[in-house]
Amino acid sequence: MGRYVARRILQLVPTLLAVSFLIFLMVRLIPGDPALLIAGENATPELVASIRERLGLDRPLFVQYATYLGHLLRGDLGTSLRTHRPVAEEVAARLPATLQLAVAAGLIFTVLGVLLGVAAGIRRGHWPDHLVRVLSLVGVSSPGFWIGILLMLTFSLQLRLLPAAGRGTLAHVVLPAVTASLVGIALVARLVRTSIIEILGEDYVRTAWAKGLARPAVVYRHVLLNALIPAVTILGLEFGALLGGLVVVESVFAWPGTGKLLIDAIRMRDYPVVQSLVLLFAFMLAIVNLLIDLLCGLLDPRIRHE
Amino acid sequence: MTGASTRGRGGRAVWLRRRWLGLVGLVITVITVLSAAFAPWVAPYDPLAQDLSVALEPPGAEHWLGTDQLGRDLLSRLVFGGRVSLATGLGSVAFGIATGATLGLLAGYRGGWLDTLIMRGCDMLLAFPGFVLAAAVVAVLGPGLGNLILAIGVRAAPVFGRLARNLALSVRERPYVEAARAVGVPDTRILGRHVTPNLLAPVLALATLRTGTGILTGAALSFLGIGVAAETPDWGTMLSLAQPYMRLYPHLVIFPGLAIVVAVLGLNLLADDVRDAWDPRLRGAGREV
Repeated sequence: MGRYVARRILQLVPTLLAVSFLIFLMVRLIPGDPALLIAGENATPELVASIRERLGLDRPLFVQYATYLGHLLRGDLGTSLRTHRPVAEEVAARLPATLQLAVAAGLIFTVLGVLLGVAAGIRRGHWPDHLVRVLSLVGVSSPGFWIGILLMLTFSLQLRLLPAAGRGTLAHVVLPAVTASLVGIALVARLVRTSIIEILGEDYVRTAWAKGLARPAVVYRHVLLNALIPAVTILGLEFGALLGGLVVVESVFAWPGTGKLLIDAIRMRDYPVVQSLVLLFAFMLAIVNLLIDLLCGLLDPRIRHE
Repeated sequence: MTGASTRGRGGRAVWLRRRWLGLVGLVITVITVLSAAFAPWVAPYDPLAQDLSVALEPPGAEHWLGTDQLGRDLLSRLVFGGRVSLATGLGSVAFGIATGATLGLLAGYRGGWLDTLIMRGCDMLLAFPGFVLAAAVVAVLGPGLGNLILAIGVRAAPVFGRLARNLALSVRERPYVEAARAVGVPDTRILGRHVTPNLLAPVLALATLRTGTGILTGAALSFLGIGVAAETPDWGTMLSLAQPYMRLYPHLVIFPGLAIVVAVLGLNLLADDVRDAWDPRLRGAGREV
């Protein structure tokens, strides 16, 4: 297992290097002087000059990239144009809110998704099955931000049961977390359903039935765990979609996390913040995929000996 | 004689039961496309004409779906908004096919360092959450419909690239391609006559799916104020502008959202059907926001 973990972590390095290079190029792809762009429209000539020096714009591109990478590795993400505070501080201040929302949404969609998926997979053709099918079809076709608006309209503005926006009490988490989890529920339920149906057709499950095991014993011991591995793998591939959904949901509910910060920064053309957050989201995606691979390696010895 | 006709009807019934959802998708999509294409004739009013004397009217006989805060006809704005959505969806897919599928085809057919280079490029783009990548490209290019299409297209390109590459790789090994190569048919001709036709059906299925994804991503970006300009009649911007009024006038947020759901649902149903009929390998690839 140790070698498998080490190999997977090493595989992360080229991905992150490529991603950071693309993000480094981002500002340089914008037509015009990058220093002027980063400094903003009403910048003093001194500020522009200092940024130009920081970026090393007169030096060759790969030297500039090395400088950028050096700053990154020391945790120096630059300065926000809007607040003039270090970007690393800004991001760190917003990160807990995003993680809280992600964990809450993750809990909801894992529990509900697995329950629905198992119910649909075991009793194929019955109502849970139909529910999962309709849910996943509507789930992949509706914009998350619109569902969020409808929930806000119903539960905050009309029924006045829950706060409409912001972060503070536990009640504030409910609507954004539910909105962010809806796609996940549909996704997880469909994946679990499919893999349960597949596993139910396996020889060892037929053997388990044939030797007269009771239904719960077959389902729990032979089907569930084996069905979860393919579901978890595919969920990892879709994690990017869930992260994207989180970005939008944060903006809808004015949730003070990194997703809202990203959209605000794009609107304000606060490039250092945009660059850092895009890097952060790519990093999160890579880490989650790593964790999922490790989890699968832990659950299934065949994977780690590949 | 009666036996034959019964079988025919039975066959049709089975076909209809298996594919009625796809048929529904096709009908929805055709209606969406036609109403967008003939928007000036379909829409009862000018989508930009303001009339404050009828502002914020609920759905009624005069204005079927009501009016917005500036007295503009909601139905007309939805019909014209379909143009923006379809342009985003179809435009981004066209870009994805023109760049991604073409490069992927080349990568799969040629193999070697070209394959490695192109596929590493795809991996690089796929390392970002899709929506975040599109938003980042918008941040670089600035807002506007053309840039929005390009941003979502950049995101779609590696998805088409991977599909085309894997298909080309498998087709390349087939005996008839090897035979063509053996008798000295030039590469361009092999690609055009023997490889590309094998890619059409799966690429079409993915294109249908990604058109829906493109509409959703575009609507989300416009809703967040970084897509098309706020004056443009667009489903996403309509939802964003309606938010302050939604408590008292919920029709302002219900109808534009429904328009998105129906249009994307139609495309997804159609894509499912095309996929089931031609290519079961695409299951599940599609959602971004």
